[in-house]
Amino acid sequence: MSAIGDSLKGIISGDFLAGSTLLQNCRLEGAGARVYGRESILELFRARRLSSEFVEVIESEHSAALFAQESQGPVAVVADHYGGHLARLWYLAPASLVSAGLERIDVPFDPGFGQLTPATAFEPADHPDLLPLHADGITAMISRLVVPGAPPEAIPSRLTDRLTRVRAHVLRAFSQRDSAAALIVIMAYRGDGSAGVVQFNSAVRVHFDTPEEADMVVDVGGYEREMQRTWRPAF
Amino acid sequence: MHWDADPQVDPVVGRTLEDLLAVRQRRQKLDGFDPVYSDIVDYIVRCTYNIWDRKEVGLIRTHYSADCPVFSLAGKVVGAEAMVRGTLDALSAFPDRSPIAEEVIWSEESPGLFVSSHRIMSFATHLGPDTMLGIPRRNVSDAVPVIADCVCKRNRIIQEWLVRDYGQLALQCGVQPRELALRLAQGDMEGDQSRHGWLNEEAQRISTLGDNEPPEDHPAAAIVRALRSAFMGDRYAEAAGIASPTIEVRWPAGRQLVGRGAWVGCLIQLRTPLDGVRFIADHWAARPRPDGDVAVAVRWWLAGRHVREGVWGSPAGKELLVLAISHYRMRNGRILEDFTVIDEVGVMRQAFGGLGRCQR
Repeated sequence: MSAIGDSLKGIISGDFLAGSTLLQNCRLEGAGARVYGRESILELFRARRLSSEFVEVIESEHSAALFAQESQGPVAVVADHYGGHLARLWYLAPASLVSAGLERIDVPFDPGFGQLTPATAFEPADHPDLLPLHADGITAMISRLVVPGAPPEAIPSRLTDRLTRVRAHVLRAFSQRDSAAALIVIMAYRGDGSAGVVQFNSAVRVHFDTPEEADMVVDVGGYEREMQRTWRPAF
Repeated sequence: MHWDADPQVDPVVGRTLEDLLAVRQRRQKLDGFDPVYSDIVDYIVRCTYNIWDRKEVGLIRTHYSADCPVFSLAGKVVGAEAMVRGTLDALSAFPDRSPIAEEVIWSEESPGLFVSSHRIMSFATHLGPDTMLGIPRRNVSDAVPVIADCVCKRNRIIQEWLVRDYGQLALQCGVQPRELALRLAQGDMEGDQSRHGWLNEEAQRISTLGDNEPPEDHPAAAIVRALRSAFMGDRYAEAAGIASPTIEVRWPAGRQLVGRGAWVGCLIQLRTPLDGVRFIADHWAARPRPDGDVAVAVRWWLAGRHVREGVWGSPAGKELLVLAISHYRMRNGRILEDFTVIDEVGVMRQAFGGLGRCQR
């Protein structure tokens, strides 16, 4: 495994020494958590005490994604880095990392604003580490996620049963040889009778020599935390 | 001076704390600055670290002018001694307060006169009594966004605009921001009202700026045009053309969203409660980033009469002045990230009649 892969693996295993690659201003989001700073991030994972079976790392000059399997289900970590120094982490897991979410103010907005293809937002030019020939593959993965008017195929039905009008935004996408990874922010209206728009992440990996083995990890922990919130568009 | 001059001055982005604090030979012309500072970014990061993390509070006396005005919607503070008192107050309530540098976006307005826009995450634990937040109710260690715009000359900050996300801080400490704003406003309405004159003076100052805009070749030009198009013209699709389809929005009080729709939603949420809206761009700066992107800072104001129900609650017809500082990450001429800090407790404080009566 690469140095970045080793770092990510160590961090989510709760290994304090692996945290030396975390920048002091690193932020972690996902699985219901928003955590800031090296020490806070490491303490969050140390408290989990979970072991993971590591599957794959895909990395590029500025990004990395680690895919793993835990007893509760698949997990993924997507990272921004500067020469191996980790600046941002997105963690996707089958369960929430925290017992309670942070209070926040919500914004009434139109998730499909201005998109000719209402379900997806992806600008390949925003992702300099993504090979142009991989962009179509990423788009195809998003299509599996979101088809207007139909339940997304790749997200478990127990999640989509409570959502409507799912939208996908590709926040990060990058290539390593014949493989690519992407971080996709999923937005949807709550379909369970409560107000609001929810937002949670998914991570995809595609091997273009075996595209049928493309894989997606959904941040179910983040989804669950979002669904426990009460929509608050005012102070 | 062109916005990307002095490329030898490294940005904060992507650097470890050890690297940021390493002492280097001077690599930028800094007349009158202490010899330890290698460049303007180093000055900002190092003196902030020394004052707060190392609690060398007395350094403020050599790093702020005796008459330096510090503007924020929490009030105006003048001079180094007042800053020393304020810093000690803060440390007695939040003793482990550590302003972690995220970005310094700076400009040299004239030789030796710098304006820096310093974005930090103020990481702290509420352990002692605080004038705003009272006695701590629970042990919360968390980070709150702050941006400080400082005018710096010969080692001293001579003017500052400070925006702290008090809305998020209050929420994290278990205090309801509207209740806090009401309490502060009630205190404002007692005693000598002339002490609030600074807000009116600031309103008068920015009203003279007119349709202030950056030069066309400045990275901030398109952003300021977009914000004006949104706030003054209500042309949101036109404005959103400056944003990537997957723009990341980090706005006050925990608003973290993705997409043009979300960005437009934030702008509308701010604009809707106001009538007679005026948008004023006060200052801008831009610097190259290590990844080839461009970091842009814009300090802007929104003024208007609070007449409609919205995010700040029911209106009472007060004139509001909203101070915002935004940091943008731009790639290929479009915004990838918008990090905006506004003190919405300060906005609601005005809505409740606090901070004096603003004439506009």
